[in-house]
Amino acid sequence: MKRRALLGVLAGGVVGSIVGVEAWAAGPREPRVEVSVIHATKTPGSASVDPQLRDLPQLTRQEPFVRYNVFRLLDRQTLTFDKGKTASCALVDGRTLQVTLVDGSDNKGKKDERYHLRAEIAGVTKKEFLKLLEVTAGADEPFFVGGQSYKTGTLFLELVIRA
Amino acid sequence: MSLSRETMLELMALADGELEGTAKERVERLAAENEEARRVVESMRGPALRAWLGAALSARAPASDGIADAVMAKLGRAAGPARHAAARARAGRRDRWLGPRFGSRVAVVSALAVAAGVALFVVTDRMAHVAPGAMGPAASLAPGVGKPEVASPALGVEVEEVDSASHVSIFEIPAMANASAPSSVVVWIDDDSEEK
Repeated sequence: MKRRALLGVLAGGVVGSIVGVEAWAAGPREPRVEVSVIHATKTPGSASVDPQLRDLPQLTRQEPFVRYNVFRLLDRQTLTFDKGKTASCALVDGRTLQVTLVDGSDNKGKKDERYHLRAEIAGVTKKEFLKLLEVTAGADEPFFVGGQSYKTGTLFLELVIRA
Repeated sequence: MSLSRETMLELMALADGELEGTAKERVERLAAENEEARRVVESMRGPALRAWLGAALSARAPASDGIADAVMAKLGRAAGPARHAAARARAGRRDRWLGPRFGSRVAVVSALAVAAGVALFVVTDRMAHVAPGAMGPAASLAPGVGKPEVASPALGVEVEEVDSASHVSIFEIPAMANASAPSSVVVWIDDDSEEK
């Protein structure tokens, strides 16, 4: 019994070491972009924020969020990238968001690595809503693209790079 | 010290009583005729001088030849009882290590290995997920199309370029008191299209 326990502990040590070394050897993972589609409306007397939007309550006192009092999460997608490729996702208003992680991030591999991201929002017809947006951001630093009219309100797209 | 390495080894062998026959006679003759050789043989009978001799030989040819090793090996043979005592001490230490607490010692070492592995995993994972705590400056507004006319925060989100046919405003949201919410940016585009 004692020998079995000993073998168990030894096996645990080996597994733990292997997991650690593999994680170390694998290095940082490819970044992803999390896209949250938020519907914002102005409804007198019924302010609410979707509990899934954890950081938003702190932003609702800031422009342009202060113009609205009801925030609901309509959709959340995680875009994964092959290097240099563009990922896209369909939005609830029929438009398409295209996101590209541009090569050449700053402080690559470090904890304060910063990413260059290019975004476009194309309409189903006529002109593009957003021809080009280039942003530099660190991991877990959200930024928003707002203004798309949708069902008596507007859409905020929250984009966050997840490393 | 003018004696050659081979001569020194022969003199030491003579002192240790390891030579026989003609070799013994030859080295005894050398010791009788050569003052330095005689002193070497005499000194070999004193352990302290043996140690000195070993050190001197080692200094004379630090890594090129095996004199020091040969001398020390001979000294080790000469100091048999002391060597055996050291060996017994080592064996005792080994026995204590392999004794009744061997299992618990192995368990401790294994637990440390597990902890190290988990720590390595956690640190690596955290390095891949850690969010910079940088907070940006106060908000500013830059309506229009093209490169925003706002001072970018030192860290936080930086808008490099915006291009849209519609009117564009950029709102910088300063860091909240709660450090978990970093500074942010809202790119606001007036939706004047007919697509609703």
